[in-house]
Amino acid sequence: MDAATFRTTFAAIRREIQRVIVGHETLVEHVLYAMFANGHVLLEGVPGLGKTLLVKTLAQCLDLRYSRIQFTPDMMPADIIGTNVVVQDADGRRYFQFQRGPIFSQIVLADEINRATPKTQSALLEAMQERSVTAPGGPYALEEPFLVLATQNPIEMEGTYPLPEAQIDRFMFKLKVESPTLRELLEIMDRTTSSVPPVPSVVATGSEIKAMQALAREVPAADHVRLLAARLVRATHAGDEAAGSLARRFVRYGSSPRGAQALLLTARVRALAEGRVNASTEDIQAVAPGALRHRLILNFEGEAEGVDPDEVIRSILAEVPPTPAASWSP
Amino acid sequence: MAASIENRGGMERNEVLDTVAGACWRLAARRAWLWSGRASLSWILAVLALVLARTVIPFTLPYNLLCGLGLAVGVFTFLLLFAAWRVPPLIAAQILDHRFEGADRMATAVEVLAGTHPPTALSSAVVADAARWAAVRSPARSIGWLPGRPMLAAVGLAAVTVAAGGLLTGVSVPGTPARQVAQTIRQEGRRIERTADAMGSQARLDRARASRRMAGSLRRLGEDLQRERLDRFGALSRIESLGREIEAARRQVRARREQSGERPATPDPLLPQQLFRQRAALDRTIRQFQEIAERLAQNPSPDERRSLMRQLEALSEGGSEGEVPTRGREQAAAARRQAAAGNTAGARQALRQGAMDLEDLRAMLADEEGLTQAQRDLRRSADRIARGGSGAPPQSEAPPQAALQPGGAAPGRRQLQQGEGPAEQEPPPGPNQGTTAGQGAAQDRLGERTPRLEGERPQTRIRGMQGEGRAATSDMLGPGRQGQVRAVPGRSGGAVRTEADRYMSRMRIPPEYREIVRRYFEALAGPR
Repeated sequence: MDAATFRTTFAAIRREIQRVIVGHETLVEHVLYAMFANGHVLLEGVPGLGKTLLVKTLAQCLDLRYSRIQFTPDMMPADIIGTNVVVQDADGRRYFQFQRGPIFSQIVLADEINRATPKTQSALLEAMQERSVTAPGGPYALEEPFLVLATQNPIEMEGTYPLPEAQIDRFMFKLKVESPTLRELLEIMDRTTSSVPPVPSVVATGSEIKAMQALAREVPAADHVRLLAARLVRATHAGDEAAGSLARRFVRYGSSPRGAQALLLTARVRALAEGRVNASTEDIQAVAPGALRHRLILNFEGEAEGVDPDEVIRSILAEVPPTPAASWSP
Repeated sequence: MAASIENRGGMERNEVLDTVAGACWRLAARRAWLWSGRASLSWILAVLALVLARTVIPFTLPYNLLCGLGLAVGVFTFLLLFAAWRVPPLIAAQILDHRFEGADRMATAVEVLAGTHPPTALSSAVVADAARWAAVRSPARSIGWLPGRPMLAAVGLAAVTVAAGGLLTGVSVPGTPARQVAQTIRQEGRRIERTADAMGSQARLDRARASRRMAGSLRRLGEDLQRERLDRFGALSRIESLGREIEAARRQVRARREQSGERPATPDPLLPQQLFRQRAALDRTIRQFQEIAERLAQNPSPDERRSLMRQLEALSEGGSEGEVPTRGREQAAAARRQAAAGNTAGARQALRQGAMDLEDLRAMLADEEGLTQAQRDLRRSADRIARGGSGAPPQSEAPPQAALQPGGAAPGRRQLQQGEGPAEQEPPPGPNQGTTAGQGAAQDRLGERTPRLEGERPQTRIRGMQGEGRAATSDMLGPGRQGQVRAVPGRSGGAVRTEADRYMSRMRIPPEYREIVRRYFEALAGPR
C-alpha cells in the first residue's frame, strides 16, 4: 500500500457512499478519517437525516461484516456481547456455550445509543477500546477492522440516558448530521422514490482497510504540527495558562489525551486523502471540531448560557497560532 | 531507512535544501530591509517633525542633509543586520509553507532530512513531494529581498520632508517665536530699505559712487527680506553676503585713499563719527580754500592780503588742529608762494586745484562713511534677527531696569507708536498713563512698599562718558561782511541722522525709543 493507492481507494469509497448519500460530504469524509484512523464515531442528528443509511452504505462498500444494534431501555449487556446458553449435544449432554452477540462484527451500528441504560452502554467500553470482549470462556478478540458507529438524537430527552464521559471519550469523532439543503432534498427525493434505488458496490476489503490504517500511521508530522495538536488540547483546559478565552469561562473539563491522539491520527489520514504524505496544521484544524467537541464538558455557566462547544473550539483555533512562522516578522 | 532516503533522494534532497537556503538569505535580507526601513522612517519622521516645528520655534535645520543621512542610516543598518542575522532553515521552511500554502511540506521535509523523527515508510516520499512542490512553485524566488515598503516609504517621506522644508521656509504659526523672527526679519528688511534710501540720497549728494552702488544692493536686500519667505538662517546668510561685499568695497575705497597719498591716521575700520569729523574738517578746509580764492579775486587791500597770507600759511601748516590733509597743505603752500610773488591768478588756480583734490578726498571719506554706516546697520539687523523671537533683546540695547518700571518712560508714547515703523515692541507705560488722569491705571496704584533686601546697589552708570574730556573748537572763517555768508547748499538729513545716531550710541537710551527719536530727527530733516 502506498500513498497513491490510499488516495485512490479513499476516493472510491467516498464516491460509492455519495452514490447513495446525498450531500454530507464533510460528514462522510470525517467518518472515513475516523475509520482509517481506527477510531469510532458518534453521529448526532435528528431522525431521518440518513445516519443509519450512511453506516449501512459504508458497510456495503467495504465488504465487512455489519451488525445493527437498536438500543432500547430494556436492553441488557448480554444482548450486545452475547451470553452462555445451554446446549445439548448428540449424546444428550448439556453444557454452556458462548453465543456471540452483535458486537462481534466489523462495523457495528449502535443506533440511538443513548436510549440504553448506562449499564448496557458500558458493555461497549471494552470492545471499543480493547477490541476484545470478556465473557465466560475467555476474552474474545474482535476481528479487525472494528468500527463502532453510534447514533443519538439530540432533542429527545425523555427516556434517554446521556453517555458517560468515559464512554463518550472513546469515540474518536462526534459528528453532527445537519439537515439537507433544498437542492440536496430534491436529490434525495429523486433517488429514494425511483424504481431502482442506487446500490453501492464493494471497493475495499478488510485487509485493505487494515493496510490503509497502517499506512496512515506512517505519515510524518512536523514538530510544529504535533505541537499544535497538543496546544489545542491544552487550550481546552480552563485552568491551563494557555487556555482559550471561552474555554477559560465556560469549560469545566477539557479534552483528554485521547483528543490529541485523535487529532494527530485523523490529520494523518486527511493528509493522505488530500494527496499529501505529511500531516499539516490545516489538517489538525480541519479535524479539530469533530475530535474535540464531545470531549469538552461545559461548566454551569456554559450550560446555562447554552454555549455550543463548537464555539469554544472555534475561539481556540483562532487564538492558538498554527505555526511559529505565522508570527515571524517579516 | 535513512540510507535509502540519502541514496534515493539526492536530487530531491538538494532541491529542498537549495530552496530552503535561498529562502534563508532572502528572508534575512527582507527582514534587514524591514528594520532598516523602519530606522530610516523613524529618522526622517523626526526630521519632518523638526521641519514642522520650525514653524513654531525658530532654529536652523539642514533638513536636506538630515534626510540624506536618514537614508544612509537605513542602508548602513541593512548591511549591518544582513551580516548579523541568520534565519534558521526550519523557520525558513515553515515560512515558505505558510506563505505559499505548502501545507507544511517543506518543514516536514527539512525535519525528515535533519533526522528529527525516526524514518518511516513515507519519509522519502515526503522529501520527494516537497521537492516537486518546490520545483513547481519556486517559493524561495518569490520572496522579495529588495527594499520593502518601509524603505520605499522612507524615501518617499524624505522627498516629502525636503519639499516641506522648502515650502515651509519662512512660514510660521502666529503668536509663536518663529512668527516673531519672521516679523523681525521683515522689520529689519524695512529698516535696511530705509537705510539704503538714505544712503543713496546721501551718496548722490556726496558724489560717493561706491556708497551709491552699494545702496542699490542694500535696497534689494531690504526688499528681499520683506518679500521672500526667509528663515533666520537664510536672512542672516543674505546679510552676511552683502556685508562681505560692502567690506570689500570699503577696503577698495580705503585703498584708493591710500593711493591718493592720504594715509588714514586712524585704525581700520573707522567709526562713522570719526569719518564724519574728518569730512566736516575737510568741508571747512574746502570752504576756506574757496573763500580765500574768491577774496584774492576781489583785489584785497594790503591788510586783507596779509590776513589771507596768514590764513594760507596756517593752512599750509595743517590748520589749527592739523585737519588739513597733505595735498591741501601742498596746494595751500603753492598758493601762498604764488600770492607772495604777486601771481594772484596762479594762487587762485592752486587753491581751486586744492579744493578739487579735497573734494575728491571728501567723496572718498563719504564713501567710507556710508559703507561703514551700512555695515553697522547690517550688523545691527543681523544681531536683531539672530536674537529675534528668543524673547531677549540684544545685550547692547537692553533697556535699563528703570525703563521697564512704570514711570520710567517718557510721555507721548501712544502718539508715536501709531506711526509706521518697526517699533512693535511697546515701550513701558508712562507715569501719567491710565484710566485716571495723572494717577496711572487703577491696578497700578501703589500698595505697600515692598520690603527691600539688604545689600549694596551696584553702580551701573559709567562715569566720564558724557560731557567730559577734551572739547575741540575751531573758528569758522567767513567773509565777515553783512549779507555775504555763504555755505554749500545741500540736504542735511543724512548729517542730522548721523549725528542723532552718534549721540544715541553714546547715551543710555532705551532701544524702544531709539527708533522713535531717529524718526523724529528724520521728520525734522525732511521738510528742509
